[in-house]
Amino acid sequence: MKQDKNPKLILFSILLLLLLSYPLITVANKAALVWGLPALYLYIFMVWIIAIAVIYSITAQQYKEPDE
Amino acid sequence: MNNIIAIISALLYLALLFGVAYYAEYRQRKGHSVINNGYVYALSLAVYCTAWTYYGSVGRAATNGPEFLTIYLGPTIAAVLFWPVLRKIIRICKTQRINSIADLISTRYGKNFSIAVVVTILCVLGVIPYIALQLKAISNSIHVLGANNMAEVGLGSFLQDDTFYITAVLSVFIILFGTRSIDASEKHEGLVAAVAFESIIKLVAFLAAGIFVVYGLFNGFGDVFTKAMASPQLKQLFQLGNNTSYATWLGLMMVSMLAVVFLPRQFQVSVVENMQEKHLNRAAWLFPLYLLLINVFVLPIALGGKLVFGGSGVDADTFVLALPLHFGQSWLGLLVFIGGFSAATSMIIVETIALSTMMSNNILTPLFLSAKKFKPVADGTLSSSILNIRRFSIVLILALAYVYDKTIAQYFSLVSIGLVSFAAVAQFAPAVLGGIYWKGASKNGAMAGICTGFVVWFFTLVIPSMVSAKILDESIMTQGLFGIGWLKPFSLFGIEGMDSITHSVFWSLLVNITTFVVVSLNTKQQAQEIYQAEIFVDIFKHSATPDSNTVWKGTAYLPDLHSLLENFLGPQRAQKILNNYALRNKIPLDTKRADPRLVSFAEKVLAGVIGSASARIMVSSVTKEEELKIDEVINILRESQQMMELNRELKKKSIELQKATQQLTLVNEQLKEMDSMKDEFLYTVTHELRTPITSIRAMAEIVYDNDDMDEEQRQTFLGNIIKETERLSHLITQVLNLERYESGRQKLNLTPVLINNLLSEGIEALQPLADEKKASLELQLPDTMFIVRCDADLLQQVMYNLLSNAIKFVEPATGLVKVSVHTNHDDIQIWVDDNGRGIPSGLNELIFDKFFQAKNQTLKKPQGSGLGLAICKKIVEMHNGKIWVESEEDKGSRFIFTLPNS
Repeated sequence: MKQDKNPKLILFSILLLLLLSYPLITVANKAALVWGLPALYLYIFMVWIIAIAVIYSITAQQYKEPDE
Repeated sequence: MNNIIAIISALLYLALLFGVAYYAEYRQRKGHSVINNGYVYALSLAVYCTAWTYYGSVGRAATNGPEFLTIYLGPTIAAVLFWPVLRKIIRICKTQRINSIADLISTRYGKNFSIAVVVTILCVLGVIPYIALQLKAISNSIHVLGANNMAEVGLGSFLQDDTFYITAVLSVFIILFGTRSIDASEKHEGLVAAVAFESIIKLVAFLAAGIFVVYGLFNGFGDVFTKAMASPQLKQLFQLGNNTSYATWLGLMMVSMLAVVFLPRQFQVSVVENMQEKHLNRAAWLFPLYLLLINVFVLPIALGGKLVFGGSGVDADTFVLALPLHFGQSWLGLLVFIGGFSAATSMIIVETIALSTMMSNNILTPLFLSAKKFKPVADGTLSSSILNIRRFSIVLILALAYVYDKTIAQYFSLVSIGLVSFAAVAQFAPAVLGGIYWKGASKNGAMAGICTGFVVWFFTLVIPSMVSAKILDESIMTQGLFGIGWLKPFSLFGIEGMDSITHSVFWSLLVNITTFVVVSLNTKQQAQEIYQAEIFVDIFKHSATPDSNTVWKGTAYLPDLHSLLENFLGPQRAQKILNNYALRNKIPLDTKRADPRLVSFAEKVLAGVIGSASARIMVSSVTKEEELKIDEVINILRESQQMMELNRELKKKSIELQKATQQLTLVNEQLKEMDSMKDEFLYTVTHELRTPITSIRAMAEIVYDNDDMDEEQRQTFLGNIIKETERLSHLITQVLNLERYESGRQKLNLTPVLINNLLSEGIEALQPLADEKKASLELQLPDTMFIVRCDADLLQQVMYNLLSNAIKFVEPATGLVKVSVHTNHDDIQIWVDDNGRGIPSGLNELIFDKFFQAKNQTLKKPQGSGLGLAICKKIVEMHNGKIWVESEEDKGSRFIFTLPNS
């Protein structure tokens, strides 16, 4: 059965925007090192890697195109 | 190392690019496209990473810390939306043969000409500085590599300038591979391959520089960060808030999210050069991955540069290159230089192609055509003229960028010029996104929105840069326009606290969107606009049935159309395209009047060549079009809607029909099978009847012919005749019974029956037969009495058949037949056991078939009609019961039938 991946992607884009902006980003916004890496960079790159994995899992699930 | 080596390697690299592009076109001609896959598509999107990324990010990181990341996080978020949004734009552009962003906006808003011109001008103004920035980066990097102080060469002595020659070679490259085909909506195979190749080079080179800094100069990431942590100044770069507010952070992220779609070069690679929509799936995660990789080392390089050079005045924009050179790694330095060069050239190539298409289609070609007072002359020179115009545009754009680079660009850092371009193209977002999701968006709204946004952008970003370049007086910055205090370019209406880019984007988009919506709501759309709005917003519905709803009314003559196409495409191609289309859509070409579909097809083909607005003007110049009234458009749209619904209905009907046909075929097969079964049955029955009749006749003849036969013998013969006759009539009765059960004519006479009685009676009836064979019959009755609703006579027959069979097959004297009753909660089981010869395995089910015995004469001596068990089965089934046999050869068998417990 074809299923529409658009709702998932749109929801995820909103989540990603929230994770990367104020106020959530303040969680990591300090001049300190975590595991030898700057806290903010660590946070952003982690979110980034997870985002890539999530996009991969959503878009790779079917390469068929749904009609709208 | 000196300039000469740098320039020679740059030129060698360009030669390599020519090779890549030639190879890609060669493969395409052979039918093996190298760019038709998701990986190359994703790599071509990475043209987003220019010299600004390559050199500028490090510079930005060295002053503003994490802020540079916004430029790549925005596109990552945009990549999530590639499939939902960009796919729609791609579908629209493919079906409408749109080849630039100006064309997209103009086509949506009624193929309006002026809006295309405005968008083109805005693009040129916004993006030429951005191209200049790449040239500046190239010349900077040559100087760093050559280790001579950055003496800028003025415009006057351009012949001594390295960048000039590189620009010249680039323009040859772009002309060669960018103006192959007159149809700009066709793919530039060689260019895209070259750009994808460059994306690999710049990534590899940058990663090499990063690895050198982090692992060559320091002991890994931890070391760089720990050392930077020790410096109070560098420590600040680890967090936001220093030079970057949260508003700036969000603003830059949003504006780069828009830029990755609306920058002319991004639009070119992601939409115009897209081969298949499904490539978006792969690009959606590969492109962000690329961005992540190219950013991993940016901060470490910036910190490393700061730690190494300290306050010695080395420009942070050049750290990537300066660090390897400082430590004597000239080969690595050369690789890094080539990487930066590839970042710059890929951007210049694609951006120039995109801009030149817009410029020639929307400004220069219309000027040329109107100056020539267009007359349909099919000499084919027009197509070469248009190609020449496009070539001229390419040279013009590069020349403008070069001049800008040599005059104004020196006053700015790499990043600030790039962001000004981002803010410019963000102005297209409301018109495009509104246009593809909101049918009410009108031409006037889009025009007003873009223009006001443009003005605000110009005032808040371009004016200040002109002030910096000392073209304008300083007073406008401090006192506001005309001395009005709330018209200061960096703090409109007195609002402060934002950086200049965020400030400009905020105000320009606010004004843009507001005007766009308000004007759209208050203006009436024209017929053509309504039609285009419908097509754009519901593109997935319409692209399923292309050309089903042509909106064109008027008179057109085929020869006129033909010669118009010939003008732009040349005689052979025009003929071929027209013939193919007519053949596909079954349009006759021998008439004089042109079919409306042909007119609209011709317009689309021309749109690929000269843009939709010009194409529309061209077509209307050779046809007599009647102005469509709005209600006519609405009618056409409604009709096509109905057509589509009708299509859907038809599809549904035909599927239903298919199902019915399948069922019919199935039933037919069953009938055929039953028919052949009946034939077989008849054959077996007649065969069975003939056997007794033959023997009766033989014996009767013997008695008849032999008068002198003694009495005893005669009696024997007559007795045999009677026995055979009985057998015959028994057989006929059974056949008739079976037929009655099978046809369903036998009605069950259901009465409550005591099982015990039924069985006792059965035993009683068969006792004489058992006695005759000296076999013993045994009945085991349960303690409880079972009452079953059934037809007693029929069940009696079942018992009779089973018992007589059992008696038949046991040995005389030792034979034992036992009847017993067993129950579980669902049904009552009646078992008939015997100690006869048993049934060979594998036949347990077959013995219930009609005439099974008769058909298997190899079995041990046939006895009986062969219908008894078939009749039993039928009767038990009529009572919703089951019958089966459990048996082992030579150990006896057990027949079991069940009756539902009532």
